[in-house]
Amino acid sequence: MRVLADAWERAGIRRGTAPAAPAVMPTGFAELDRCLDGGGWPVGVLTELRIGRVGIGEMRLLLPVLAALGREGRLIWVAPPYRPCAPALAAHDIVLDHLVIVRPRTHKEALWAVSQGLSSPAVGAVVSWFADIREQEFRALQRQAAEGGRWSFCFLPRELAPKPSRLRLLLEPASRGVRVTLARKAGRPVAPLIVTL
Amino acid sequence: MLWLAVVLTALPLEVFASRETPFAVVEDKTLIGCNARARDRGLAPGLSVARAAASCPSLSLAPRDRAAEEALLEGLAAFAYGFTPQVVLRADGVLMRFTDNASPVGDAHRLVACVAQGLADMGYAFEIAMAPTATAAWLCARSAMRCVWTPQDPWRALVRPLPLAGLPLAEASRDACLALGLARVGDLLDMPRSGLIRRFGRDIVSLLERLMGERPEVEDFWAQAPCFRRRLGFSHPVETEEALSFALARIVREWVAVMRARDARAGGFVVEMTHEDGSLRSEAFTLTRPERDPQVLVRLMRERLRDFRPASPITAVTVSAPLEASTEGSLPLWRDGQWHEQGFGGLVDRLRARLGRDSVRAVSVRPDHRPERASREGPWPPQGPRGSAGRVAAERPIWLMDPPRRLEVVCGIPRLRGPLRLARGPERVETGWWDEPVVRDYFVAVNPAHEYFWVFRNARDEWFLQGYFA
Repeated sequence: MRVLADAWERAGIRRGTAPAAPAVMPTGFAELDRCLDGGGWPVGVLTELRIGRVGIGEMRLLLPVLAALGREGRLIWVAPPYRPCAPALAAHDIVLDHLVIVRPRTHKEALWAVSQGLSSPAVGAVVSWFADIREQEFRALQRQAAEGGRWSFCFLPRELAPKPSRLRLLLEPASRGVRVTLARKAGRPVAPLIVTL
Repeated sequence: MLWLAVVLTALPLEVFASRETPFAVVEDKTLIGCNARARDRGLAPGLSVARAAASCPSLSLAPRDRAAEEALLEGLAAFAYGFTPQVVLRADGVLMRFTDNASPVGDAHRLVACVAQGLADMGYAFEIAMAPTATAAWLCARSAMRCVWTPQDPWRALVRPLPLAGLPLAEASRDACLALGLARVGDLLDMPRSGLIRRFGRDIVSLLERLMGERPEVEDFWAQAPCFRRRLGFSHPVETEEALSFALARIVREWVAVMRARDARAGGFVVEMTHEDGSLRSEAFTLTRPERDPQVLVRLMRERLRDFRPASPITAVTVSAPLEASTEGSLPLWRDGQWHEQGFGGLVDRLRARLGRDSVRAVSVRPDHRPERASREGPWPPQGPRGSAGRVAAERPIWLMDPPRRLEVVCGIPRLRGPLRLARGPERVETGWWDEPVVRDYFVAVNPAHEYFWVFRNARDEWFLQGYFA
C-alpha cells in the first residue's frame, strides 16, 4: 500500500477522491498566501481588485507575482492610470523588456487589448484598469482568462456594483501596508488581513 | 534541356476580384474571359457583348486591364524564379528552363507537381506542361496536355497528334493550313519542308525545327524586379470591409507564394486603396519580425481595416512590399507560421495594427538624474540600457506624475487629502544644470489615510507631488 501511495505521488497521478488543485502562483506575502485557496493567485481567473483610489499599495501587492510571471512570459498592462517609473519597476525585479503598456483610446479598444493578451501563450499576466465594465464584458474576459490559462488582474473602482468574478479583493490603505478583504472567494470565508508591504 | 510552360488560361479574368454573379472581361466589344457563373449561363469567350448581354441581362462587364495583367505576369515570373533563374515571360504565361537533372526539388514529375501546387495555392486557372523544347512545352500547355516529357520519352512522336492551334503561327498561315486539311502538328511535319517554305515562308519551318529540337531556341530571360506589387481592381466598387478583406486575402496568397519562391519575408508593406473619386488612401504596416505566413498578414490587414468606413467606394486595392531575401525568422521548425502567430511579436503586431503605433508602449530606463526623465514611456520596442542598468539605491514610486502636481501648503505643511507627514528623506537631487537646473529635496510622505506619496520641495519652498507608491 505504501509503495502504491508513493507511486501515485511520484507519477503525479490525481486520485479520484480529491479535486485537482488549480495551479497557483505564490503572492510573495505569506499571510496572503495562507488565505487564498491553493496558497496563491489562481491561474485562469480574472482576479478583481477593488481600490478606493490609486496609490494605496495596490501595485506593490502585485509586483512580486508580476515579476515572477514576467521573467519568462510577457506582461501586458492595459490602461494604467499613470506613467510607470522604470527604475522602481526594475527595483521590483520587473523585466522591462517584457512589459508592454497599452494605452487604448476607447473602452472597446481596452477590452479588445485585454482579450488579445489573455489568449496569447507568450503572455504571463494581463493587468487592466477600468473605470467601469459591464457584467457581460467582465464575464467574457473571465471566460477568456479561463480558456487561455493566464493570470489576470483587473483594477476597478471600489464603488462599482459587484462583478461576477471568482475572486474579489477589496484593498484599503493601512499603516505600513494594505488592508485586504477577500470579498469573494472559493472555500471558507476569511477575515480581513493586513499585508505588510 | 527541359522546359516547363505555364499558361494562365483565364488571365484577363484573374486581375479582377472574383464575383458571385456573372461577370466578363471585354475587349473590342467581344468577351475575352467569363467567370464560372457566366459560363453557367452559356456565355463563352469570343461572344459579342450585345449577344452576351441579351442572353444574360445580369451580366456585369469590365474592360480588359492590360497593365494589371502585366503586373500579374511579373508576379508569376517572380514565383517561377524561385525554381530556376531562367524564366521567359510570354503574353499569357511563363516558360522556365531547366538543365537536365538540375531541378531544385527532385525529378521532373516532382518539380511539375511543386509548381502546379504553388499555382493552385495562388488560385489561378492554368495549364502546365514539360517538354524538352520550349516550343513543344508551350504547345502542350496550350493544348491542355498535362504532360511531363523528358528527352528519354518518345516525345517527338507524342506531339504529332496535337492540334495546330497551340502553335504560335500567324493567323493567315494557320487558316491556310486548316484549309489544306493540315489540322495536326504531325500533318505539318510530314509535309516536305521545301514546299512549306514556298507556301508559308521560312518562319513556319524554323518553328517546326525549334519544336523538334533541331534548331536552338533563343529566348530573352526575364530579370526580376526588386519588389512585389499587385493591384486588384473591383468590377463593382466595394464599400464593405468583407469584400476588401477577400481581395486582400487573394493578393496575400500570391505574395506569399512569391516570397516562398524567393525565400523572402515581409518586414513591412503598404496597402493602397483607390477610391471612386480618384483619391488614394494608403496604410503602411511594419512588422516586428519578418513574416510570410498568409494568415498572419491577412489578420494584420483585417485588424487595421476593422472599423474602416470608406468615404467613397473603393475601385482598386494594391499591396506593395520590398522583396528582400531574409534569413532572419526562417527558423520555425514546426508548421510555418504557427510559432510566429502565437509568439509575442505577433501579439504586438496585432495590437499595433488595431490600436495604432502610439498606443502600444514600452517602459525603459534613461540615464538621467531627474526622476521624471529617468523613466521613459514610448512606442514599442523598449530603448535604452537593458537589464538592471537603471537600478537606483533610493526608493522610487511606481507611478510618476509628469509634470509634477503642485501641492497645497497650510502653515508650512504640504497637504494631500490631509496634512503630509514626511516619513523618509530628504534625498537631494541637483542636476540638469546644462539645460534646466533642478534643485529638489525629495521625501517619502504619508497622509492620515496611510497613502504614500513621493513629494519634493524646490528651492523656492514650493511642494510638488511627483509620484505614488502604489
